[in-house]
Amino acid sequence: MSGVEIGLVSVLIMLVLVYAGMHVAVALTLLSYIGVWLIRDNPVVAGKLLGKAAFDSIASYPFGVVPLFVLMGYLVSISDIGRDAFEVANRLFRRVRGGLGMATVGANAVFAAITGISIASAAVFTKVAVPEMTRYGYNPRFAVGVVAGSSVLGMLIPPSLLLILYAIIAEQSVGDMFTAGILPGIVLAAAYCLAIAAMARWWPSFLGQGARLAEIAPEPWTATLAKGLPIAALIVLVLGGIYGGVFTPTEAGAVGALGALILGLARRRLTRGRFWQVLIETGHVTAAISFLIIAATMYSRMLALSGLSDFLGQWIAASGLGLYGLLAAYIVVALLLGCILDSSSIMLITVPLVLPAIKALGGDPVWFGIVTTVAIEVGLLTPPFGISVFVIKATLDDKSVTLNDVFLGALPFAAIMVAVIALLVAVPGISLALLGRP
Amino acid sequence: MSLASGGAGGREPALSFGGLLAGLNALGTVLILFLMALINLDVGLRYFFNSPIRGVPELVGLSIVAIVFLQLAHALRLGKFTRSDVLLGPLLRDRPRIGHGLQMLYHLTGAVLLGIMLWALVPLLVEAWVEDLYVGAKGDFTAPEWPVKLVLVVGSAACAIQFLLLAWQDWQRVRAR
Repeated sequence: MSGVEIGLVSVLIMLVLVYAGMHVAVALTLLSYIGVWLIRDNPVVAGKLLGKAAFDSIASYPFGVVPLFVLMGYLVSISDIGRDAFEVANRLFRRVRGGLGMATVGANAVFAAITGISIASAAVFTKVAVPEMTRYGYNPRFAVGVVAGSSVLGMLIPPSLLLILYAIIAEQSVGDMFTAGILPGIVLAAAYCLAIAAMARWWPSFLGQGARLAEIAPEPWTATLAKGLPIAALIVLVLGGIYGGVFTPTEAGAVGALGALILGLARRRLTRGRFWQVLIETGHVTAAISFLIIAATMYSRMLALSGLSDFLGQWIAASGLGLYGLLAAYIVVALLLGCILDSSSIMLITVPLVLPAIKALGGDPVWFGIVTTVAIEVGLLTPPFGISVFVIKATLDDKSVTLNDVFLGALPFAAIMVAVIALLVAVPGISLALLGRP
Repeated sequence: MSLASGGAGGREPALSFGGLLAGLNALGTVLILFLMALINLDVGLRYFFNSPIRGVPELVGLSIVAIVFLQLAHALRLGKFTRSDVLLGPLLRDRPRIGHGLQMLYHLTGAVLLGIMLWALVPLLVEAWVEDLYVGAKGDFTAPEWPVKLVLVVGSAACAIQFLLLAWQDWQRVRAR
């Protein structure tokens, strides 16, 4: 067999094993090991590749962002910051039909700017926003759907774990990826709000027939401002720090985590036991993600060695599929994989395979990263492996809302995401404008 | 949500191994805090006193590897490794013998791969120790590489053993009934 054939067969076997339930990192490692063994006809070289990748794929300063932003995400999600964001947004949208839904989207967008994990957003807003919406007559299905849909903002608006992963695997700067995520995140949030307004007007049965405007206890503006202040401070600290060039993303993660820690302590939300729990949880997520990255590094080295990525690039260029044809096919594959896998695994499996071809066709890697992120995130909402949906169901106290309800409620929002993907593909400027690229 | 939640089942050797993993995990947890404190100190000193700490990037790179490998086995034990349960979930529920048989193969594969990784890492540890390898630049800041490589070896060994334990648990489920 030629290298290209070995590469191709190993990708196919890997997909089968992943589908059949092998740990993703183990499947990637296994096929990389066997692949290199066959290509080089030497098991010792292949073994050395494993050992080398374990050290040098994660032993770097930029990689420090991973545990720090995960820690920050967990800290802010137990500090009632989400609730405050929701109350402030609620006040802004209180005179609009469907306002509670929009407030959920808005609060999620703001919350996303201080956390990098969608799961955190989904859990927090299930507790905060769903009871409020059902109390004012919204359809529970709509309520959970809004929370599920807007939870994906957590991974798009920086800081974001997925953007960090993309930056690592595609060798882009984390700061650039963060900057590029800002406008697409705002566009997606705006699209959600527009859709909610449209639903309130033309599809009231989905929103809830009895939905009415929320009555908000009269509260002086100063009190609302005081609630918004800590969030604003954290956002300025983290995003302002990165964008203004004061911090590297790693430093912003450390400073943000410390800020969230102080906030949690000041509000007495953080006991010693809880803090330890958060740290343990952070460690587990970091370990699992890092193992995936180690495995994905071996896998992309194996692919490079096999010549498959180059071959795919030339083949696609020769086939006349073009950049947009390739992107369309890629997005369909990403959506399908979203049905069986979690976001980070999909990103680490597909990007090393496709990125060389995208670059060869003249696509900007940063722009491709943003498109990929949104496409992969649709999988958070689609059955049977929609993680956000599972988290919402697990967090929800209400037994009358079934898993099915959550999936159906999230469906319109998944459709909006697909529309936004098309927009992001058609107008690369949305992703690249803040970077000053054409 | 996880399928492979560990649980040592109260047997003595497994229990103390679990204790060891929890200990390694706690060490990694403390390192995360250390990382956060170190970077904040560096930023503060640089910003307010214009005197950054030497060697922070190198220390961050090394600590990250240590954190990951200190916590890897524990994360595996608690079923935190990502995988798809589209096929395996129903199998484990409805056809437990087939499901656990398959899962045993997966766990054994993990053990073998971690074993190969270990085999490749030990010479790197020896080399780092014998040749006094360090990161950084002489005269400015240097840190020895061997402690992190030791953690790599210990961590991947622990992870390989944990994979074997999980495979053993699967085997017992396959044999039962």
